[in-house]
Amino acid sequence: MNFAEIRFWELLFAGLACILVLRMLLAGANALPEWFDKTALLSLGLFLLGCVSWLTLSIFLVVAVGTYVGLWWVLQKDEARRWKYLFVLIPLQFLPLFYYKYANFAVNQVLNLEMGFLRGLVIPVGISFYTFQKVGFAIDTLHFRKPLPRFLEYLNFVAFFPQIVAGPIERRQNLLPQMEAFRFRWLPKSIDEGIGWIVLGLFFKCCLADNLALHFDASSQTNAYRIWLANVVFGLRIYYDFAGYSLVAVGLGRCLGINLTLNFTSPLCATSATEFWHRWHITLSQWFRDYLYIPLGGNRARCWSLLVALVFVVSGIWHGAGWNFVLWGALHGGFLIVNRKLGPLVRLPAFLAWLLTTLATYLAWLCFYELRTAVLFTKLGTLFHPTAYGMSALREAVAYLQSADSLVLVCTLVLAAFVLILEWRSLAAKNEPYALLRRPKILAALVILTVILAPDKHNAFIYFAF
Amino acid sequence: MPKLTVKLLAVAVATWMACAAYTAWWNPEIHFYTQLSRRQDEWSQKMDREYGHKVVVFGGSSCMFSINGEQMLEKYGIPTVNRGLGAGVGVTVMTLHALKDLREGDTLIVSVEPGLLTEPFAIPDEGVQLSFSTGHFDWAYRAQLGLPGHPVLPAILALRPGSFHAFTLVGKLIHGRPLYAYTIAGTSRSGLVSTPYRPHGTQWPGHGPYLSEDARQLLGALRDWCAQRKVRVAYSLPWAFAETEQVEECKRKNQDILLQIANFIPVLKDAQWGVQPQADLYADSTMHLTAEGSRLRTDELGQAVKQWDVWSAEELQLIVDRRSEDKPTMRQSASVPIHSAN
Repeated sequence: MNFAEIRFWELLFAGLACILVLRMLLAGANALPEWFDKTALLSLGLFLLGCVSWLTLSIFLVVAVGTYVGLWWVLQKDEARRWKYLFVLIPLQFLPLFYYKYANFAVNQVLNLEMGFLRGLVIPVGISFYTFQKVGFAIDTLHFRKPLPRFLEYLNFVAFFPQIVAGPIERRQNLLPQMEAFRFRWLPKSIDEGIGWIVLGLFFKCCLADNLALHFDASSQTNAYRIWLANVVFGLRIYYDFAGYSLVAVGLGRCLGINLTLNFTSPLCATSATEFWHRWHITLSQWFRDYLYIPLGGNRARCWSLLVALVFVVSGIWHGAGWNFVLWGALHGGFLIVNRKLGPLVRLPAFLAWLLTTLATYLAWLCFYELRTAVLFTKLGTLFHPTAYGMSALREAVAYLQSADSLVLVCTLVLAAFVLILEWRSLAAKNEPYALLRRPKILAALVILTVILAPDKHNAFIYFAF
Repeated sequence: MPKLTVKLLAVAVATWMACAAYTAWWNPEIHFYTQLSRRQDEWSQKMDREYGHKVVVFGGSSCMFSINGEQMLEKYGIPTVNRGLGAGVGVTVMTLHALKDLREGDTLIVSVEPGLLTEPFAIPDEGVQLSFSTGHFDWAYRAQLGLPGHPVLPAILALRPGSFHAFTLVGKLIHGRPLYAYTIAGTSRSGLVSTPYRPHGTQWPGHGPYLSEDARQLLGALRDWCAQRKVRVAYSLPWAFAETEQVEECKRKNQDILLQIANFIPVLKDAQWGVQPQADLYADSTMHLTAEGSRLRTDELGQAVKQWDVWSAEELQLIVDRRSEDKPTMRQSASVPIHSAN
């Protein structure tokens, strides 16, 4: 389910063509059943997931069916006792995620028990995303006292192919009603709107993220300038990579008449840590806010800062089982606490606030990409050591940037910066970060740039690893 | 009708067509290799016409800069075609390019850099583009010699410049520099490319310890292909620079890889074992020989081909075994070349 691979589009168009032909034949014979569209959509989703791997599909189905059956069982209980049973169901929902993603880290690294077989576990694609969506679904069903939907509609809610492997993590109240009313309508307006998002997403991924990935060099441990450069390149890459995926998902949804949540709203233009998290991976932030932070007391708790730290450490661990992710989460938690404590007291000019926010987030990206803990601390030490910013380090960094490879990097960075400026202008004028970029003429320019500049090597989306 | 979708699709197709046209006719790198390929074709036809048989040597750019067909003909009477291409086109395309006009009675000398043989093969965009511009697009997508081809649609979509080419081209235009490092004017009639000296690194290019699965597949398929068509085949190690103190180590690594190659096809003897530590024999990289370097390398190859002086796998195994036994002694007197022991 890699939108950057031609194979995905071949499979998708083949699947859609089959559905279209079958639908026309059935409609022509006046025998189109009411359930056809929903069943066809579900089949398409499961087929595309099965093409990733049968293991991925099997684990997905186990979690999906387990959630439905478990929730049905919980809903049979007295209303007063349902929450108790839900606390049995939720750990069961998380079980496959813990096993595949965290067992190795917990057993071999934290507990030092040396169980070799856990080291070879491959994380099934999308497990973190669909597990969270299913847990959210179970909680919302109880919290809002909603009935259990029909099984077909529930499966379409959890298996909607554009968002199944890397989000957005949809909520019951947004996606389920759309799935209940789903029909293949092929509305030209929806398709045009969807294609706009898809073009933008593919430009982000294939033109910007993939080119930045080719020139990401994290080898330097002692040159502060080069470490900062690696941080900036990685920060931009992960944004364009993940936002690119999310925009294609939104576009595919729109083409089918489904409105998915926009997962990114130009986070790199944020002028505070709080704003950054309102704009970055929005559906995950909202999940943690609604299902962890608020139930634990939220802003009204006396020790809210401790709660913020806890939530961000958990968010770090969600991204990966490793100390670096824990540190990444802790750093962001720290930035948010400082921001909330000092924000009302200190008023900074917008540019300075943006610069500080940007520096902080790029510093934190170091903890995200550097998986070797010892090297991570060496690099952090370099960044905080004034002598690492001397003239010789600067000369080395400049010499590094003068190679032919770096010319490509510099040009890609300029292009990425230009796109950010357009996002910022759009945000300032229309409060919608991608409005300018989705203008027809600009979309045509993005198509041209993507066709010319996309490299031949496509990397898997970074968030597939989570 | 979704009008915007149709328009954007039209823009994408038009851009791709423009990119394909650029690739076929104006891309300086592909244009150079297409012209080089034509020159090699002409020389090959001349050899067939005048002598009825020929030796075809192929490999990456190290081959392109080293084997002089005219010298082979004049000094050793061996009609030789240098089918060297840039390593960027990939081993699959460079091999199919070399096989295209081989006939019964010809000789094929594989001189692909060991660094390419120890990596998995893929057909890079340059390979697809060269196949397209030379009229052999099937090289890119058809599975041949037991190697998988590029899927058709990605192969068609590979006819684009890509960011590296586009941005560096703009940089060259701005700075008024040549659009490609080599010109067809600096190429001999037989296909030997030469270039003036430019400062370059001094690192031995190196290679992995084992042939890749793709390389094993290719060498086995080449052996069978040549046997079926009564074409003689052998491997000849290209020369590469190494610092004097590294020479013995590099030779040992080369012997290890040659032993693996010899399990498929014979290996032509080379007193240098592929390592030539004389820095002034290299032009702009540690594998691109100067005119003098090319003369020496051609001499070495000419003698080996004339006498068909080859190592069998058993002989090479003996050398490697003896080397292991002699290791402590060899460390004490590293200046003694290994091949002198035989």
